[in-house]
Amino acid sequence: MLQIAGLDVRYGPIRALRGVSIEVGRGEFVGIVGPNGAGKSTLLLSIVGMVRPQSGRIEHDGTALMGRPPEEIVRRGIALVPEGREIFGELTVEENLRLGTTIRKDRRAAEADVERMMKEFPILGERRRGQAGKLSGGEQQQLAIARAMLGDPKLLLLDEPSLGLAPLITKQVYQVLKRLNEAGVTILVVEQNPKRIMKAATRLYVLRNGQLAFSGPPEALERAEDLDRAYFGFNEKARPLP
Amino acid sequence: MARHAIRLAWPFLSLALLLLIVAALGSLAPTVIQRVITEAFIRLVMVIGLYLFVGNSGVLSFGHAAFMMTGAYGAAWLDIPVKSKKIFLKGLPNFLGQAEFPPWLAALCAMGFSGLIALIVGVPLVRLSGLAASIGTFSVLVIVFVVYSNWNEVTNGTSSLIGLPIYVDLWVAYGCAVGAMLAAFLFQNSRLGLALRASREDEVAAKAIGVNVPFSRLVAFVLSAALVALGGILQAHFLGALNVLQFYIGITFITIAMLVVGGTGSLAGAVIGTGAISLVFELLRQLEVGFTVGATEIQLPPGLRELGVAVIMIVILIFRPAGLMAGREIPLPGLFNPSTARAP
Amino acid sequence: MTAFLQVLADAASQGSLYALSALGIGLIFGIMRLVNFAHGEFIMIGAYMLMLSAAPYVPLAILATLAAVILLALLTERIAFRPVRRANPTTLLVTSFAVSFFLQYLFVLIEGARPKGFDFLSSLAEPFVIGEVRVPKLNIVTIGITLVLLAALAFFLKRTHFGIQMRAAALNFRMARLLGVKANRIIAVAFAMSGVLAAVVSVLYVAARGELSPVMGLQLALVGFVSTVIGGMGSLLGAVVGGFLVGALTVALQASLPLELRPFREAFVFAIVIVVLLARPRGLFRGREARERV
Ligand SMILES: Nc1ncnc2c1ncn2[C@@H]1O[C@H](COP(=O)(O)OP(=O)(O)OP(=O)(O)O)[C@@H](O)[C@H]1O
Ligand SMILES: [Mg+2]
Repeated sequence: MLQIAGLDVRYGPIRALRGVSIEVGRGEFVGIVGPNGAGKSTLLLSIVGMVRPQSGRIEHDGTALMGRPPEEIVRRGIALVPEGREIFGELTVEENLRLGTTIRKDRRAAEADVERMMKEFPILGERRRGQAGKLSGGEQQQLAIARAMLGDPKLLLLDEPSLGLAPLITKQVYQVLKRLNEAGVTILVVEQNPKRIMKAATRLYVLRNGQLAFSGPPEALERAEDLDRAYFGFNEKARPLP
Repeated sequence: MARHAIRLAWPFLSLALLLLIVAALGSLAPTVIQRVITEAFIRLVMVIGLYLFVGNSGVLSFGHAAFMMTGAYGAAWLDIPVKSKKIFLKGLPNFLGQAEFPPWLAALCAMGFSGLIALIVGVPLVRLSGLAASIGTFSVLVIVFVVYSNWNEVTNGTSSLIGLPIYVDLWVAYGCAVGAMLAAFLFQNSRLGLALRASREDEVAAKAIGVNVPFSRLVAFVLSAALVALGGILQAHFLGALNVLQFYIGITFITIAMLVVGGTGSLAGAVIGTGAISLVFELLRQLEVGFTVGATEIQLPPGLRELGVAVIMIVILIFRPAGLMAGREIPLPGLFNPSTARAP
Repeated sequence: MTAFLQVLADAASQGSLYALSALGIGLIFGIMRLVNFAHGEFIMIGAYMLMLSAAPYVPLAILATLAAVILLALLTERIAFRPVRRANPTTLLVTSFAVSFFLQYLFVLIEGARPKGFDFLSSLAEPFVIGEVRVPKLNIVTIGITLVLLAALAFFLKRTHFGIQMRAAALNFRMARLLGVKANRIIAVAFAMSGVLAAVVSVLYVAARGELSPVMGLQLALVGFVSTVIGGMGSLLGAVVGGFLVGALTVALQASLPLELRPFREAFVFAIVIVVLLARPRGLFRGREARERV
């Protein structure tokens, strides 16, 4: 569904990504983990066209995405829930949800979906006329996911959905993602903390200093030292890339 | 040792030399051309003054024409003959009404006066950054313009003030332009100037390393106001007449255009921008005045000059936003440059 | 009492024009952080368009003016502002300054610098008498049109999907694009709307003054800035309230200042701008941003 090969991204002198290649198949639940500054956000932003890579290739169902504006990329059924959620704090919860349907052509169905979403996330329904900025962090995260879902994406990208959330809320968020995945949405999640994602994902990449340090099933990193090795690079004999 | 000094002072020396060549060639040319070059030098004094603040602080001022106004009128109050003052400027306080200073002293006093006004409005304004600073300085311009346009007893209102001693010629203008460049050059290499340039790149970081941003901005603001005032004084004593409309939106636009076209980041940018726009301005003026091709007289309507400058400015902003010089000074010829010169 | 009502009526119609000008500037600023100096020239060119097309049939002339100014606004956006869209607000301001000069001198070139008299809808100058208060019909028309436009704009922004997209883009353009909001279209629509506002001001202004000149836009653009600054840059409601406030202030100063100080009226208004910038940089009416919860 998504193929990325040899991606290079620079911010001035900073090389945020160096030759990163990843692949996401239809219906998969893929996780990317890595420490601060590894380039995780940069990778997701490159996919949706918010960051312009120097070189490499990004393909979605065989179509090259690079160089296209974000408006066009999201219309292909790719949605990003960005780091820090970025809900529109001064708009109401309902307006935020409506914005999620911007790319929908089936206006009537989209309106119905907004209502359905407010049932699925009851807190959003309760606060529909309230300012979105007044929601708690966990509620905002739900809003951000719900908003992304309303565009009917086939591929959902999430940047650190558990950031700043209590463990219990994180668990709920992952339950939602699991459900979506079971309903056929392909999911690519970026996390700093590998704990949660190792349970949820079917496949895992570790990104470090802008380069891939590991790729494979999460079980391969179950032993703590394997994880440390991939994550921090303690042992250079870490598992070779496939 | 001498080589070292030349290398350090090169950004200034190169430009002073360039202007010297222009002035020398100009002094051989017919009077019309001399006047054009003199006017360009006067503009340069204004643009360098503006550059001293804008280039070092990174804050774009829309208000500097106000200081041209205070400078030009300030000098006129002091050096217009007493009998003219009795006719046009009845409201001047006695000590001004009776005074008849030599022009150079009048100019110095008027620069000081403008610096003082800059100090007063600068104390609050330098706390603003970005857009707010631009709008704030612009407000100063409007206030000064409104006051000078309506305070008839001391400015003759919107009518022209005439009878100023005319002492500005090519070489006076050249001398002032070089002096202004020297002042700007010394400032930008002073500790204060360097600190201010650091704040231009990153205000927060500069504050973190102990740069007192408002203070260094204020110093630059006052100095630049004094230089810009000198530009206004020269203009007034070049034409021998003075009108408030000379120092409002039009000159603001032209000087900003010159600075932006050349590039706000370097002294050479200010000079090259002034030169380029002055040249275009003069060519278009020729078209407005009219010329003959064969038997047909071609004359284009007025307004062409400003139109041309606006187009150039937009094109530069779109295609070369850092300006023609893009923040660089004129490079040193290999002879003095250790990185390219051969070891003896 | 009558005097007060009279001043109030004058202030309301003056404020209406200012509010519309401020709104046109505030709209573009909210979306793309561009202080559009050229808005005054949109108004000026609208006035000339009105004069050039007025002869046969007034409603048609007004329509032609609307169309011309909308087109002009879209063209300047496409040609001058789009290429510098990503630049910082100061560069944007300088660009709009240059565009403003370009348009102004284009009309100096075409129409000459002298003001031209133009008698337009002068029948509206007749007063409408309520008790002791005499209000020119034009002022009532001005206030009425302003209220209708404001209501329409509020409806558009609050109730239509496109309006919500526009508000979202003003708050966080990056995120709005990630949801599929089309940047080019949003900005183009904002410019078209500012064109409509400018054209309406052209018509009302010409009807009130009976005169036009290439520099007429400057005054209105300045008032527009002042109002947006006082109302809080980026807030549309602030721009409108700011416009009415500046209108009221101008009329009040005119009525209350001693004769010899009246010409200095504008200096007072701009002094207030500086004070607001320093003391309430977010405008008079907005408190500190309600802190967003993390
Ligand atoms: N807009 C930018 N300008 C300059 N450098 C940037 C920019 N965005 C990111 N970087 C740099 O690129 C590198 C990768 O950043 P990125 O945000 O992709 O990391 P990350 O893995 O998402 O980190 P985190 O876990 O903290 O979110 C970092 O060194 C960062 O400083
Ligand atoms: Mg990140």
